[in-house]
Amino acid sequence: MSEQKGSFGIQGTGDTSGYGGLVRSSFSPTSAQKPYGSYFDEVTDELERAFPEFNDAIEKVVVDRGELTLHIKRQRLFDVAKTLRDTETLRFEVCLGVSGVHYPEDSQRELHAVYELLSMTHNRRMRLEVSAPESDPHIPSLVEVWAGTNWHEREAYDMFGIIFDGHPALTRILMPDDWPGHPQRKDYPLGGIAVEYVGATIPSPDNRRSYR
Amino acid sequence: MSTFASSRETTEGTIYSVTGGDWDQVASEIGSAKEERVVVNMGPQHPSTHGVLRLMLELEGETITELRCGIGYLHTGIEKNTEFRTWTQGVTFVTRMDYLSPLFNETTYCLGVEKLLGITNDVPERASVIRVMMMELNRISSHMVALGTGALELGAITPMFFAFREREKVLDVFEKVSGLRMNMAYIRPGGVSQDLPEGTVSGIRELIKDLRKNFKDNAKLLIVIQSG
Repeated sequence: MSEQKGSFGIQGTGDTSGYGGLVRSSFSPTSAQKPYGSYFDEVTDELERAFPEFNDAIEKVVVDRGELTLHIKRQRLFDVAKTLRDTETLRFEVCLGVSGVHYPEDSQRELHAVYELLSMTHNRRMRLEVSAPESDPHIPSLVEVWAGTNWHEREAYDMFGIIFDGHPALTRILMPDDWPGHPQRKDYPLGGIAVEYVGATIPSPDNRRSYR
Repeated sequence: MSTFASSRETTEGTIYSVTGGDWDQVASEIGSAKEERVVVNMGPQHPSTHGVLRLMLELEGETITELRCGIGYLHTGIEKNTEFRTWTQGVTFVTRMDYLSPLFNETTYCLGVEKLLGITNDVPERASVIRVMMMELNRISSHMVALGTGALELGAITPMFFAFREREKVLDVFEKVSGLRMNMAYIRPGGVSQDLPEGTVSGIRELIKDLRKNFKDNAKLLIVIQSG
């Protein structure tokens, strides 16, 4: 648990919360102990049976607020994902999206990618989480397992700079192709970026001419 | 060589840039090239005036062999903005994610916040009931736009007037309850921003009677029953 106080790098009247008391805290739940409850034991047991290197691939099993999350070593992500999709007793056919998360204080594990999975066969949901250090932001692509992750991985690349190895065409999807930086990283400022048009620049709000 | 297509030599062969003119003439000139590969830029255009879509097509004759699409600059940076705001202020942003069904976005967001804070069971039942009722009304107003504009795409203008008339009545309820017709930020973490004003429930009962009758009329305009 870490805490950050103040207006997060914004100076003067820039406190957008309307009062100065905003506290941002981040929380990461610890590993759960068996029995996990609900269908979570069944899912993890079946995965262990279908994927013998389970203990080597899975960093921790988190059960928090009635939801199951498996933290996986990035080298094993592809195999685990394929097993989750193909094993008859698991059958996670749908990946609902790839979300990037940035934890600047989580040394050597700054960038996370989170995959929400759904099994329509068994009516179950679970989550996969992988991390990569900022200095080596590579995570294997899952486009071959779930084709729908294609654009989501492009978005996570665009916004967080996670490089998905093996993606068929990893390019920016929302920002202009020549945009410097990745806007949703925590160290990226809010509103501090000059907007560039071809041949013209609009300075960021705090750098504009003052009329006072 | 061409009046319409300027050409330049590249390592991949001659590339013609077509910027208008008589397509027959352009096609006949390009047709003499060894490889009949044409890259056509379709758009950017408004598929439904919600942001722009640009398609880059690679054609071989009349067959599309490859397609890439640019989905435009649709990101509104809500995640970044909410990093600097309180949970309650976040509602103001998520209500704008879909302006036809703002209450659904608000509810989803608030349910998530409540789960994270562990206060799901502290939400009063009355607030939950109001949330569901408001969402159902919102569903009607949103569907009315879909049906009305759907008919408009097909060239039928009348259903749109009827659909928007019904939508208007639902928006009047929203205005009475929350003060705003759209982007209300009415649903908040922990409940709703304020209780229903007096006379709302009876008003909604009247509205539903009215809607039932008018939907039947609108259905007659929209549904074609084929005979024989």
